[in-house]
Amino acid sequence: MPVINHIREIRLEKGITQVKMAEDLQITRQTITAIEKHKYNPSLELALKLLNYFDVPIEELFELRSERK
Amino acid sequence: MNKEKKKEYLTLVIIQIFFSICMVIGVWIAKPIIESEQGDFWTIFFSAVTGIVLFSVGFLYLRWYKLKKRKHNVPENDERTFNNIINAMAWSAFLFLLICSISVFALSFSGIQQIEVGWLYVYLSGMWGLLLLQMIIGKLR
Repeated sequence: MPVINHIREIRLEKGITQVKMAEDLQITRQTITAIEKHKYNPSLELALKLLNYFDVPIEELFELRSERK
Repeated sequence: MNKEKKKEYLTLVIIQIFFSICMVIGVWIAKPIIESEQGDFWTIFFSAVTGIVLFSVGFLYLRWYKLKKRKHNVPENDERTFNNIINAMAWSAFLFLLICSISVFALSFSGIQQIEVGWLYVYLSGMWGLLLLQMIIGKLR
């Protein structure tokens, strides 16, 4: 089951740019792009940092989506 | 190919050309300085060292200039970057050992009988054994 995140939607809702987010979390902008496009799953540490950064519950940020058969 | 990728490839090409130029400058500087019976070995050694030093200085300067020009505090490396580097190193090691194993078979059937070839055969066999061990350990895990 792939992990889906709603980071892009929440980021745009809060009016945060990728560069600002990268500066605040000390990650590269390319990593943010990869996470938002579901091409990379963040580590546990980074996931917890994202939760603290956006101040949202985990189910709002990440979810497991069953694969379509 | 998007703009960023083009920029990346161009940077790599420029670095390679710069490295080659540094090596040539190193050979040009070291050759007249080193004059002895074993001049060829020391020429190559010192020219290589000079080239590497020139390249490192140039690389560090370019890096400093790039960091100075940057307007924001975004890092260049993070967990994903390191994972990509480690994966790339693992694949490189795997391919190298694969080539070694093929070379071992080619050497063993080549029919050449020299001490140097024999040592090469032993070395490459060791590399091949390492790959086999790595595969066995990976399979067991």
